[in-house]
Amino acid sequence: MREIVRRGLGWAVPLAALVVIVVGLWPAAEAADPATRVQQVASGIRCPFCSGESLADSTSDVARDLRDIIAEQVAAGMTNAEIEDYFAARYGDQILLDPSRGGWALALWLVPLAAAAVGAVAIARRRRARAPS
Amino acid sequence: MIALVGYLAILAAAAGSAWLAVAGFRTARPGGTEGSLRSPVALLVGGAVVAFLALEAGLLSHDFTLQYVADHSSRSTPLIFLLASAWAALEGSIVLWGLVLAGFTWMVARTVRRGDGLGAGALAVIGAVALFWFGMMATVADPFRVCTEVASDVCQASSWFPLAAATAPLDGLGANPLLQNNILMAIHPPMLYLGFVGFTVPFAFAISALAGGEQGRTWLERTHRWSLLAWTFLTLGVLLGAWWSYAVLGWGGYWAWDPVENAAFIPWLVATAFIHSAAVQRRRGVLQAWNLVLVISTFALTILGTFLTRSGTILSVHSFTQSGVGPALLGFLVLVLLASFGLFAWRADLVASAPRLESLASREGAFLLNNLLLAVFAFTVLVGTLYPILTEAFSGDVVSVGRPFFDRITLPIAFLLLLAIGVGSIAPYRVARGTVVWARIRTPLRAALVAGAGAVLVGVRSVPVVLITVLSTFVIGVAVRRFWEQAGVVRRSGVTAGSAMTRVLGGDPGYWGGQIAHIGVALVALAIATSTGLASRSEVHLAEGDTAVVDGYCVEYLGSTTRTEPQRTVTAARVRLLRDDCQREIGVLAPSINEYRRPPAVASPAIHVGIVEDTFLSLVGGTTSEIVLGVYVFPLQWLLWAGGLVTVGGGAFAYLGRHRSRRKRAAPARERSHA
Repeated sequence: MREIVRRGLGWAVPLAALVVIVVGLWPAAEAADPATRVQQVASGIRCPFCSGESLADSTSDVARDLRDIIAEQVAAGMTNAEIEDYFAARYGDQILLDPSRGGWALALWLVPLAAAAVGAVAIARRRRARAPS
Repeated sequence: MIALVGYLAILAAAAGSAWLAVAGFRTARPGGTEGSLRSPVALLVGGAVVAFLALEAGLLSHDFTLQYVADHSSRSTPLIFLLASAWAALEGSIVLWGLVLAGFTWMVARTVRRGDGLGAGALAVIGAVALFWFGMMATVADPFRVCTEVASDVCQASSWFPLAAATAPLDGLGANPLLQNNILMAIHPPMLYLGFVGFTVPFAFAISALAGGEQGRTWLERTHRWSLLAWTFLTLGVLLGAWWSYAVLGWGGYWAWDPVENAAFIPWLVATAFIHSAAVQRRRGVLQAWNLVLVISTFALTILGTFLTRSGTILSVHSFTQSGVGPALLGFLVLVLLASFGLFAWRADLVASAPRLESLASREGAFLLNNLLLAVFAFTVLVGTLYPILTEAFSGDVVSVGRPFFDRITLPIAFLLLLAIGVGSIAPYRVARGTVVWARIRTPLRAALVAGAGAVLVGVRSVPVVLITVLSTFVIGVAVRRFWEQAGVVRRSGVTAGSAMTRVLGGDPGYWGGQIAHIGVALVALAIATSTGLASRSEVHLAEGDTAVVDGYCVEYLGSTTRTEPQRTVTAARVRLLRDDCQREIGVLAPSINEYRRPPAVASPAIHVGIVEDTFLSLVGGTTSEIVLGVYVFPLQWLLWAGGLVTVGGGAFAYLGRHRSRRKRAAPARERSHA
């Protein structure tokens, strides 16, 4: 009897934990607060006059001014994409750190998938090649 | 005088390298003549040591006739940063590189006995590699150029000829502000170099084995500890770099996917894959060809990393723009790739192991999955790093690849890697039966779910953070449970708990070192998730005496002080940090802006480290009347450094434990021979 209870508990606890996790996270991503959104957008835009830093990372005055612009735009209700378009129009596409907007650059996203596929095929073929013997 | 001694030392080291390459090759080749390799090694090591000491002597004696000393130090540079200036800029860092390589050469040479073709061949390869570095020091990256023309107290022209008529500015320009702001920057590069240069040794043995058509895993056995040592130092180097970035750069982060950070991270990933697949080959005799590919790739990537860092190809906070060095490094990289993979293509069938994996559902299979993930990870970061350079070079288009790309790609790979670590590290070799694996992961899986629920209950609503919490707990749980189980088995033989634990750990230091490293990686993953996914960042404008409540804290600006030190002017804002009720004081912090003799000004953050979270204050800007204060909160930030150190400790444990167990085995053998 005690064994059954123990076993039952052994499953009840992780199951309950799973329920807590699923229910807790279900309302999905709640709308991010403005400061987080400014941070999100800023980390995707290159600081135009700094060396290789994003607007979120740079401590320069320019970056701070541009972050203020982003904050105003977030407050005005613009979406992330609209803000990015605004900056791309002013400074050119290269200011965006996410390359998926330019045609060819989309290929960049396929690189890991392609590499994984090649590797998986190679492993599978190695297996098959020596099945007998 | 110093220039002459230093330059001659470099020439001597270069001559020793060339001599070692030739003599090693002649000894290694079939039917080759047995020549002593001692003299060339001595010349190489002696030259490298003298060159390094000469550079330090020049810096310490403020010999501004040396352009390097004039450009990168000054009379007001503090002693520790004066010493570190020897590797704070391009030419000097290559001198340190040469010194580290010389040290490794000397240690390898001590293991090479007469008639050891593999070892002699490896020394020949090391000689050839060393010849490149010392050759570069003698030509395009000469640290001992003498200043021949001074204008407005700056060295304007210089000559390679050590006896040229020298002149000197009254004082040097001083060290790079970014590099003299924190002690970590003095330690980070040597650690990274010990890691980078260390992989020359397994590479050299691999090439020697390939060239000699040597089958089997002797090269792997002989270089196993070298790989562990190099990996441990590389891990420490990357960790210290991130730590420095966090403590010194006021932006409040530790990893920006900067090309120079990637340059160290990519070889780390491939080296990690190599350590794992080498373990499979040592244990089961498979994957020889793959190991050769990995070790060659690791070495080539360290050269690529140096090229990216040192050639100024990429605009980045780390790069020192230089000419001549870039083409030389690129040429060397191409040569290494062509020669190594050419040799591989020609000889691999000779040395490759017969494939005999029994089942993919096994430890070997898990290692393959791990290798696949790490290789894909490394390849992706590599492509993302090179993509902007290549597009700009070939089409002229300027594109940027940054955090959004890398973060999004990393997340799924990190999930899979953690899962693979958890299941793979306890799967049996040969064939893993489902019931055995399930028995080993059942309890950790429960603990992991409970931890995930705990995270949700304390208010975490970020899906990635909860997932990483579950997976990290799982990895740690699997390792701890396995240890517990094995210690229990030993315990039953009637020993104390303490000695049962040490016996388990000492019985297989390689495995347990690996498990310790896994625990460290899991902690790092958790800390990265919480410190980025749950961070909050705000900026407040404060006039003197103002109070503001941000992110659950209350900050009060007390006023600023400016103090002048010999090498810099420090403007520090005194800020009182309190709980959000503005009553309970946590402490007074002083974030500052440091202005050196040369720009840029560097913001030094002030950080309150807490168990739950770090509070990171940074002076973002300001005028005389008010300051702009960045208030950043990073949950569980300390865990990142702790986890990183645990990972390093795992590598060190595997390294040292192996050494001890080998000595133990050697001792009785010696006794027998005496009897």
